[in-house]
Amino acid sequence: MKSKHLRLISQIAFFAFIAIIAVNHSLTEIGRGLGFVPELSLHAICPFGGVATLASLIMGQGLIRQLHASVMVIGSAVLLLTLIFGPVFCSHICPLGSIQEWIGKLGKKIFKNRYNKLIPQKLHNILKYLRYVVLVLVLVQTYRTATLMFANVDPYYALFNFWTGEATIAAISILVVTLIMSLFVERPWCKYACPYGGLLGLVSKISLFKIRRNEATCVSCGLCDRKCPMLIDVSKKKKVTDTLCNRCMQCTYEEGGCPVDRACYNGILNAKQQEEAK
Amino acid sequence: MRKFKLSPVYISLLTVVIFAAAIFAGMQTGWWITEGRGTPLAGSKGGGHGGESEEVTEEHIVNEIDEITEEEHETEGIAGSSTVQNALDMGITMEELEQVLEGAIEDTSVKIQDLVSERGLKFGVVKDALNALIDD
Repeated sequence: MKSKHLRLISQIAFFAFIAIIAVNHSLTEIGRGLGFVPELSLHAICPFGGVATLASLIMGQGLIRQLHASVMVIGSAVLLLTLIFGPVFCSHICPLGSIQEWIGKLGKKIFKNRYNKLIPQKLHNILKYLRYVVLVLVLVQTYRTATLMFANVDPYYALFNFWTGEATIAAISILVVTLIMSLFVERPWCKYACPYGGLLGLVSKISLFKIRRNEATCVSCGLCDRKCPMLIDVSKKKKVTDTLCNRCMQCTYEEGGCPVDRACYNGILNAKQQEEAK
Repeated sequence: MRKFKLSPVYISLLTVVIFAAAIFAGMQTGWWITEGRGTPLAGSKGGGHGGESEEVTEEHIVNEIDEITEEEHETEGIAGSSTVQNALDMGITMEELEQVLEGAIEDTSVKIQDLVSERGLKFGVVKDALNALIDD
């Protein structure tokens, strides 16, 4: 089985799992819960909740009121994955990232080569730091209120709660804009606004495995640059340390993003170090 | 040379396995607690702290009262929009409400559903218990 199929299966499985949990939560509240599905609220499995809770604890504000202790488990699992492989949570698990990617496939068919080139590179280079502005704002607001203020604007929360009345108009609007933008820009929320992705991107700077390019075998065709959904110039780097890289692996030979076997790969050591290690 | 590289296939598999294993470890160590906390979302329907405010006009209030009254007639019991005051009006005492909702109630205008989520209870269970009290 091809790796991209495995990633797609993983994305579909997690998307379906969260959707079923959210629907079951609504059904349970009217006494019609599905017996075979665990009764969880999204606040029990909120991936960003672990970070917000940790920040709140560090700042002496205690646990955030909406959240449950299980978010610390999810947060730790994602942190562990990121420290080993990089932000694979974004590319393999996050349902909001997945739905943007799926809509993007439609966008690719409609706009072909113009897809994902709507935003000029210079503007993109500035906008990609917006994630950190959002992250700081969220952490400050969480500290000030000890509540998960981000849920008020969170498209992830809106995606699985738009029918319940719990999602705010702001969050639903941001979700709709994000999904429409996904037709033109690949993963717009991930690239420019996701505070969790921004944080995982920073953590991935010290991840064990990184995307590396073997200069000796690379033919500098630039295919990896064109394949990269996050607009990273992979062909100009020895090691991809860009915080936008979510380890989707689309730049690698296995994913069809490199014509040379293992010129671009996910590894611990660079090519020279590997030769020395041999 | 291969031993320092990881195929995307293994990354996909290991991502799922490690994620699931971490959750399993959380369950085994008692950290997987998915109940017992929660308040209404800040700024969302039903109270909380801060959030965006909405201008309340006299017409808005009249419409809202009409809506609540209509719902009461339709449901004849505790519904998702019922407030503590609605429950009191239906004949449930404050002591009974506090017992079912497992804690003191300071504001009678708050929605029962919001108190339920704040206290980590299940709305279906609370609703049945309160409706049973109304029937009695």
